[in-house]
Amino acid sequence: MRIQHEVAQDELAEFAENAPIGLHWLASDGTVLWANRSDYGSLDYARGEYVGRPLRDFHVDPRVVDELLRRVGLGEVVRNMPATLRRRDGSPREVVITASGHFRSDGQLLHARCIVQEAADLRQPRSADDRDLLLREEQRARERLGLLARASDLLAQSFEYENGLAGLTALALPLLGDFGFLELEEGERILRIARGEDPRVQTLAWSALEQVDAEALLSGKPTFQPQVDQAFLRRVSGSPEQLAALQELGIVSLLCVPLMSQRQALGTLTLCFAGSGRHHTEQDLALASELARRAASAVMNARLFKEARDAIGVRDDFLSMAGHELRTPLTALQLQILSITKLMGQEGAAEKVAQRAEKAGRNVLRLSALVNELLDISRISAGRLRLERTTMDLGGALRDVVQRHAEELTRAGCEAELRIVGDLNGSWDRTRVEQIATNLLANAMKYGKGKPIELSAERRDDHVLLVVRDHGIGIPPEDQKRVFQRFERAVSARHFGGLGLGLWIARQLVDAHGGTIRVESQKDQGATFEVELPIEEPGEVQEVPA
Amino acid sequence: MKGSGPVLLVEDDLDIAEAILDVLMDEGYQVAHATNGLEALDLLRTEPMPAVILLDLMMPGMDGPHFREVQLSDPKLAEIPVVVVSADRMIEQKAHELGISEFVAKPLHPQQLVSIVERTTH
Repeated sequence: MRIQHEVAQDELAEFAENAPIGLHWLASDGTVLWANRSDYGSLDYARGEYVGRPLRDFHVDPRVVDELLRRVGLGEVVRNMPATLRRRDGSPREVVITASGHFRSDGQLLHARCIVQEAADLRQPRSADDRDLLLREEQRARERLGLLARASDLLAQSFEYENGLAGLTALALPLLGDFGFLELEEGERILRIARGEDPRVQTLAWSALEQVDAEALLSGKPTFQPQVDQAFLRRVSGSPEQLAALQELGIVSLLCVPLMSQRQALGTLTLCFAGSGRHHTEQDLALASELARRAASAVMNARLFKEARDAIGVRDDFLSMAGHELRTPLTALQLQILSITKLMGQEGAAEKVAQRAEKAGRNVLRLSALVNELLDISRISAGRLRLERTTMDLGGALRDVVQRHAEELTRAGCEAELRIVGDLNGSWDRTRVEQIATNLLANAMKYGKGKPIELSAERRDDHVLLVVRDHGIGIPPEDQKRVFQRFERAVSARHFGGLGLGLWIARQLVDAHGGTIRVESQKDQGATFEVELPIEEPGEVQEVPA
Repeated sequence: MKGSGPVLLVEDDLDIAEAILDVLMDEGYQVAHATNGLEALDLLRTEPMPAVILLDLMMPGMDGPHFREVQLSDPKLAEIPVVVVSADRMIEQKAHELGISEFVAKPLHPQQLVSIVERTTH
């Protein structure tokens, strides 16, 4: 044993001396204790010029030696620490140093053992296997990049993103899965796109992986399961049927990434390996996440574009409607004024002239009401609506409103019944409260089919409840939210004119007062509008947000 | 009474209807008024045939195009000339689609209205 050991020692020493890599031992003060030929030779020094000298003398930055000794002294194995050495002729030599310490039993550092490698060596493949590995990695990296580029192309082709997303899902295969599917939430609807060889598998996978998708959608975080086991399958299956389906699918690896846009998950992309027996890597996860990011941003862009286009469409419709509405009283006005002019010269026409002047005056009022309504929209939209609250009597205001509309009520064939209960004093903006009542009354006349309209107001705790009920065409439940929106009406504009703003303005004014407005109605059963107005001003002066 | 028969005005807006009635009656026309297509058909069945129908397009109940459809399908009514009176920006195209060549855009000039009624009733 002993002889064998001595032989080994000799062989080891010679091996170290002639190794094609720099080796040296370094004392705790930085003096070179021993070095092999490759080490001092690479700097063009002789052994005697190198061993016994401070290593700092051979470093461009001597602090590297101190740092190395400090870390080694702490027991660390330093790996691939970059350093620049100086050759005899002053030229630099880029190296990386790997070092570990040899310690006394009391923990004191005896010396550091250092391996010095040419920095470039690390980047060189050293065997055929390594080269193949690197080539394969490079090939994969190129595939990944190509995939991302093609995905971006597909998504950029049109704002109709459905095709782009289908293309993207197909593109992810087979690199990222044997089959996969993408789900996108679109309001009430969920868009589902599946790709893979077997359509039955797709259908099965969808319903079976429901929970995985829902989790990613809720949390906004990916699910990465490169080793799918029974425990995982049991966790994500909501029923024995789902578990059976999952087991049948034979999924061995799965990843599910959310389509994130502005911290909101729009949908999910799920990719599974089954038949091929492959497993996902961290790189696959990163690539899938990037695909999902691009998909999400394409969807978001398309949605914003559509919103903008729709908004322009609504505005165009509104302008055309507003033009029509303004032209109506203008038409009457023009006819009346010109016929008055014609009558002026005739004898005995005084009474006719007076009648027509009165009618003309009515149309001027109608025009000015329309113009006020238009001004109100821009005021409200720009957040410039300010209330001028005074203590006022709501009952009196309602009586005034009904009185002012007596003639219109007659013309619409509607009788109005007003019921005021008790004293209704409160702090409101009188003009605006009258406007709320006027708009609700106008709405009731317009859609009331000439049947009676009931208005009532009474005190309820800290607010007043105002009710306007008609018995006209009613509003189907699905349209009830819409009627309070800007430029909306539940019925076709072809049949009923108007700006479609009355209820929207009413709601904005009620909001500004800190109150609420709602409607109860059924088709053909009339409509009941209920407004609650707090009697006291709630806190600060309210401004309506744009 | 002027012309070969009364004028039938189909117009839902009461202010406009009144103004048109005033203008035409000042000129000596006899004018009947309906507020939508359905009312107009009722009048056509019960009253003497008009010499011309002045037809608004946008009305609740039965609108102008719908009325025109019914009118054309009834041989007794199909021959009555119709003038479209509308504030629609596409009035010319819409009148053409209904097979009507005469139209007056709102806001309208009384003289324009009178001369078109004169022309179509003679």
